[in-house]
Amino acid sequence: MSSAQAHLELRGLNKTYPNTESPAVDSIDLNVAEGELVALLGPSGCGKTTTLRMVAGLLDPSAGEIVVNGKDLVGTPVHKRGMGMVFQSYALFPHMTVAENVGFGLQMRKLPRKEVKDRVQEALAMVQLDHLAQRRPAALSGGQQQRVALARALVVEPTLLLLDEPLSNLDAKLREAMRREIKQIQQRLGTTTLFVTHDQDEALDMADKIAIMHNGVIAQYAPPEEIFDRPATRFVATFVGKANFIEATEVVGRGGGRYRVSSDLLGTLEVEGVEGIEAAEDAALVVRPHRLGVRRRGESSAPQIGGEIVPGGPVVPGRVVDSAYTGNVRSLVVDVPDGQQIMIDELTVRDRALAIGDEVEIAFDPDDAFLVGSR
Amino acid sequence: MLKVLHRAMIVAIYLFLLAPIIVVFFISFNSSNRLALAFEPPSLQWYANLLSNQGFIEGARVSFITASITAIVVLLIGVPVSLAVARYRFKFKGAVEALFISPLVVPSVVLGLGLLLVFQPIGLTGTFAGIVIAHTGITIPYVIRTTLMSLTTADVSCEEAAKVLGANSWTTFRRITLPIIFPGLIAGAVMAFIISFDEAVISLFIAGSGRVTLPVEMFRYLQYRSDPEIAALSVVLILISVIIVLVVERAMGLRKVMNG
Ligand SMILES: Nc1ncnc2c1ncn2[C@@H]1O[C@H](COP(=O)(O)OP(=O)(O)O)[C@@H](O)[C@H]1O
Ligand SMILES: [Mg+2]
Repeated sequence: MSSAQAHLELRGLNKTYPNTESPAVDSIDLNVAEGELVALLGPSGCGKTTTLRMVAGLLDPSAGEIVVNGKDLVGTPVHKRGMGMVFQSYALFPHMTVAENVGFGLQMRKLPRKEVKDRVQEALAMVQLDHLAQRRPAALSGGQQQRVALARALVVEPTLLLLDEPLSNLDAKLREAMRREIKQIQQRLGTTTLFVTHDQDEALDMADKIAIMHNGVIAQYAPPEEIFDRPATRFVATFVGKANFIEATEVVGRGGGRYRVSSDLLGTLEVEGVEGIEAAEDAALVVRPHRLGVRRRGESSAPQIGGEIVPGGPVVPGRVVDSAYTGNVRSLVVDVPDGQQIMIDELTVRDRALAIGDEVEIAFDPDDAFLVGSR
Repeated sequence: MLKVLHRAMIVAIYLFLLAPIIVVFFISFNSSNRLALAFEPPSLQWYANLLSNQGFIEGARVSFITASITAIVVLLIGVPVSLAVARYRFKFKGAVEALFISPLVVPSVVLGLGLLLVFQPIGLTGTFAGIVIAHTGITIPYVIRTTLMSLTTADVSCEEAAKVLGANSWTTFRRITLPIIFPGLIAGAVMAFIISFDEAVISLFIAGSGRVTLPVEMFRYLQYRSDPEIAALSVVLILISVIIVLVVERAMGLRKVMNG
């Protein structure tokens, strides 16, 4: 199996369902390069499935273009788009064997019987299911059904592979194994892939780029590291990972996405941020809980983050009000002077446990703070 | 103690339900020539008489033909209607649904009289076509219900998966939808056949002086004669029903069929 690599571009794609007021997908633009795996990530109801179904041709857009390799597919019926899709329910044909399921798309392409047989065999071998070719779907486990669905979508050498929450019906262990497997197969075949999920770990782990969707719009489209380190909005910062927000009282732009930011809690800092922020109103510093260091007040040791000593950044006093232990990490909630609560995730160290009521000092590296605006 | 009561109750209920059948069965093998419980020596005389009763044989032929055609016609109408209702949005969808389900709530006598008034002027009384039209009307709700149930329980994404894989609407229906809902269709068709075969009231209204179905023939027979021949016929009909049920059961599992 190989793949003619396809380039996908969504332009102003919009879907407003009949008898609804606001669009489910609100004029989104998205550019997926050849061979990339892009995750559409967002909470339930944000329009991910709607977007995917429009690309597949199962749903007509209200406006906009779906351009694959330079050609607008809007108006091309679903069965002529040559795509591969894996559904959340797998949607295997219950009355056909595994081999017949996988061969269905090839039959539709009127390939000779011999070639269908060989390619089905090859596809099943790819997902390690060649020994189950004659079974019915009902006699397979969830993970096996998932693999059949993947083989069935890929055997036709689709222009695009579309996956709608393909792992959400699997148990946690299997889910992680399948993530790796899907990613490896996708990379080997080089099929341009659009992957819908509401699971941030899945998206961060698998995707080359993530499009964060929120209320029908794309809040940010960037590689996983950038999504995490440089969130474009407060929503992105809270949806992917945990975030502390420290409200800004004064923001002065220094150009090139750098700002001088004042806040009641931290004083004045020089930080990076989202480009184009002009006012302190609604602007906030994002600091990740695991990038904060903490020590008992009066302790002389320098605050450490993951074993590294924090250089002379701001130090904030506080009192532990909650502490949750999860083995690797202890999650603390600390009351700080301006009435706010700060979350801290501390890698656990033997014989050192901060308890509720302990007076502490919090420190961090200003480089770990990132300024987001009002959007 | 409670358990014993419970068992006794179940036995009593079954006895109550089966009593008429048991009585009919008993009478049909009795040599007495009255249609009543009697204890004469056993005999197969009434079954032998059946074979020479031209009225019954003709009635059975008419019923068999009309019930079979009815079963096919209701499928041909019911499946597209169910598909439209289950898979597409269109104007007056609620009205269409109600129209096809409504014969269920109209009393047979009213329906029979209405059909008679319509059929009389256009010469449909006492014809195969008339019977089939009438029976199609009363059985179509059953077919639409079983088909709709199969369609709504079937995973729509199977059909979508087929389309994405390159199947057009017709191929998707033929290769995916139809096989998945097939047990529901058979259940509906069998039900339509049995109801049509069994239907007496409407058939009686529209019989006129022409074709007469078996139930009508039996009804007329009873008006003039009352010997156990009618009981023998009833036993034969019961056996036919049992055989149909067994065949469907063997072919695809009745429970599966009934659950769509
Ligand atoms: N067939 C439909 N008719 C009307 N509204 C719909 C329909 N399908 C989805 N929606 C609405 O569109 C929004 C986006 O849905 P969806 O794309 O399924 O979200 P997601 O896949 O991100 O959970 C939701 O608010 C949902 O209620
Ligand atoms: Mg969804």
